[in-house]
Amino acid sequence: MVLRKTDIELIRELLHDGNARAFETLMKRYTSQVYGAALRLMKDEENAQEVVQLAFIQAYRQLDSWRGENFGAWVTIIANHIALRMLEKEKRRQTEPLDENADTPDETYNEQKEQRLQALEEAIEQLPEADRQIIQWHYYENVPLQTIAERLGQTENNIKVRIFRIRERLKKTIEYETDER
Amino acid sequence: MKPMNDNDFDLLLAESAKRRQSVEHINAQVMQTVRRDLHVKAVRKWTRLLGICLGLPLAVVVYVWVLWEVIAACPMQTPLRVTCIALPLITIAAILARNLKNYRLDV
Repeated sequence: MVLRKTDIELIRELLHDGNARAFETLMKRYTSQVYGAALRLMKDEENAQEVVQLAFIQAYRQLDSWRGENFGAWVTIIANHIALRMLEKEKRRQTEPLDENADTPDETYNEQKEQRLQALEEAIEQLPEADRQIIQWHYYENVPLQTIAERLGQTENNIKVRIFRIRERLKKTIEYETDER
Repeated sequence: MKPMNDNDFDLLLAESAKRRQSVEHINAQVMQTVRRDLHVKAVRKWTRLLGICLGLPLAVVVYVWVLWEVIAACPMQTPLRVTCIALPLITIAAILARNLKNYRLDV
């Protein structure tokens, strides 16, 4: 069983050994969470991406001031500050009267969707390794069912059944998680 | 919250796949900066070490040599000469000791 390294262990690796992979692992752990928070404020995917990038770079450069709390929460706070600064700057820049046809922020942000997305990510993380791999291949890499079946030495029907069960499990977990929040 | 049907779930998975792409893009951009920063830091670290190991002794040798030449050229008694060389050397040694004590390779 592979033990999951804690945030502190990863940051120690980065600071002491200069191991960039440690920071990459941290990012993989928290980018989605920080991105969700940035999107909530910016309401625009492109700007939210920029905010998240800036937040992680700032976090990396200020690792000395990290006090050992939840790393994701810390970066989210940084991202919120950056987002608010950007919005403030944008507000000040708009000195001309608002044009009705002017670009408005992308209103695709939806709190419920965001909660479900976070819950889905977490639910996938909690799946057994083999099930997670099937989901990864089927939904994220669009690998054909036949190829998945060959890779796992099973029949296509077996894979279909497994995917159906995993979907049901994920749906239940998401509904439970989002109702809890 | 309203229950999720199959269609909602498929849309959510599609959204999640799209989100993963964004996240991967962000991670790649940030890691590029992090790797560049680490590279600059490593170069700076070894340059400093090289400066401390080679540059400092060289500076001290040059300084002592010039001092020796100046004192040797001056008509003065031996104890005075020794004092004129020893005093600056002790000062230099004290400054070096303090700097080396605070020196950290990983900074």
